[in-house]
Amino acid sequence: MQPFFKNRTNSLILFLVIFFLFLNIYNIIYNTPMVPDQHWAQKIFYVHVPSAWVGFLSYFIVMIAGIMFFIKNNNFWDNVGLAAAEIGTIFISLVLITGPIWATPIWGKPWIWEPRLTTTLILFLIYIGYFMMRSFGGHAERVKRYAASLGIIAFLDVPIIFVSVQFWAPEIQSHPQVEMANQPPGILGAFLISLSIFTLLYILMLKYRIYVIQLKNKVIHHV
Amino acid sequence: MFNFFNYFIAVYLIVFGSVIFWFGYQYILELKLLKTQSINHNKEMG
Amino acid sequence: MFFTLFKKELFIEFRTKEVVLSMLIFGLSIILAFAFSSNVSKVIVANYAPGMFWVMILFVTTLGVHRSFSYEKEFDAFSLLVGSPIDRGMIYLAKWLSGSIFLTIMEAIIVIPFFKFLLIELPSNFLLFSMTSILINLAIMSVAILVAGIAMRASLSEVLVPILFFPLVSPVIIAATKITSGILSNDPYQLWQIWLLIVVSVIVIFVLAGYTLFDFITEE
Repeated sequence: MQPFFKNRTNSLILFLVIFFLFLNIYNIIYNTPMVPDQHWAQKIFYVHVPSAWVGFLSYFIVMIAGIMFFIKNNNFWDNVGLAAAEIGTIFISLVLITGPIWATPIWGKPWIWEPRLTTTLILFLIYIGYFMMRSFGGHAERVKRYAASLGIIAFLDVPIIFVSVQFWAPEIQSHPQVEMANQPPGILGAFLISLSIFTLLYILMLKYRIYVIQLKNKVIHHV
Repeated sequence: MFNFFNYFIAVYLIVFGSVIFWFGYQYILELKLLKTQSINHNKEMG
Repeated sequence: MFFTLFKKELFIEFRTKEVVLSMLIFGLSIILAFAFSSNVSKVIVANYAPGMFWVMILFVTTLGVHRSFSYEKEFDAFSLLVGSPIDRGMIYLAKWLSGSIFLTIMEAIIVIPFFKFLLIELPSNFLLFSMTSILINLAIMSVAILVAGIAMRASLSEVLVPILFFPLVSPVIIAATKITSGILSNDPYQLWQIWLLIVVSVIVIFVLAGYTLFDFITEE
């Protein structure tokens, strides 16, 4: 197998991602309006929410990969599932780290049982279990099936979790900037730009990770 | 009361730092695996 | 085919009584722990009672489901079962329904000690409480049997089953606590009916998923 970045498409995407990320940060620092009561801390929003979006997108892909694995019985889909699970968990962890950091100056306390943060926490715990199962679940063929099933179940559970957590404590006010449509145009535009760049970054990361997993499988089976 | 700018910097450093670290880690993994692959290949040949 | 499997589960339990008895004893120990940890002679725990009840049921279910699947593990009966030409989703359904029955039996017995030892008044509308609890048991079991199917053949199954089970079942626990506290405080039906809806959706989604996936999960 060739190195990943020798491939033209991949190095092009890498270049685009780096370029647009710098552009994104410049845009966030210089072009976005300064919200009166949050100042600089509000700009955390531009990476916090896209991270959540990418995390959930990745978990959705784990579910799709699980379904495809059962339909096609092809190891490729197991690799996709594992890669998407790993990267999804990275971004979800970032959400759970940046959330409290954002919350401390805004709400005064790091954690609040707000529906979307709580859903994210529950999903994070489910995926910790996923990785434990990948390690201790038994021999490889079985574990692939278990992992695929777990990936499907986990994402099926997400809407139920979200609805129940939302009605659980309705008196807890939502995230500060929940209503996207009500945002002044400067914020919405910058947010959408950041969102698309994060998605592009995610696609690159997913491709790279799938490649490394495939390379690892090849090398290990050879030995 | 809160220095909002510090929180902003902290978050951006954490997010982009993690991404860069992840790419670096994958790259090192890739290099190691490619090296092992070529060693296996040479063993096969020679 | 389903009835054969279902009857097998019930007969084994009827003979050995292992699952229900172990769940009962464990439940009693948990009630004791609650009594000690909340200093129940001085503190009134009626507000927390619904939550405590369902937390107890969570732990008890983890134990019971582990017991229920370990039969198959012991003599590798699972491979025999799995090798036979049946619709393997039926195994899930049989275990789900039988597990729910065992849980309901256990709950029916444990309710009295729970309320008496924690010095709470027994609920006035017991029938409503029982009926909703049966529904909640079905939901809890639908998740538990599916998780156990995945995790039981792992080496660390005692650890893996709770770790996977608890986060997945959290919406049911939220709903169960809301329903039970609504019933115990005699709230009108409208106030907690949405939670019933959530419980029913969990049952529908997880039973469908379990029935479909069990075929793939139990392949060898």
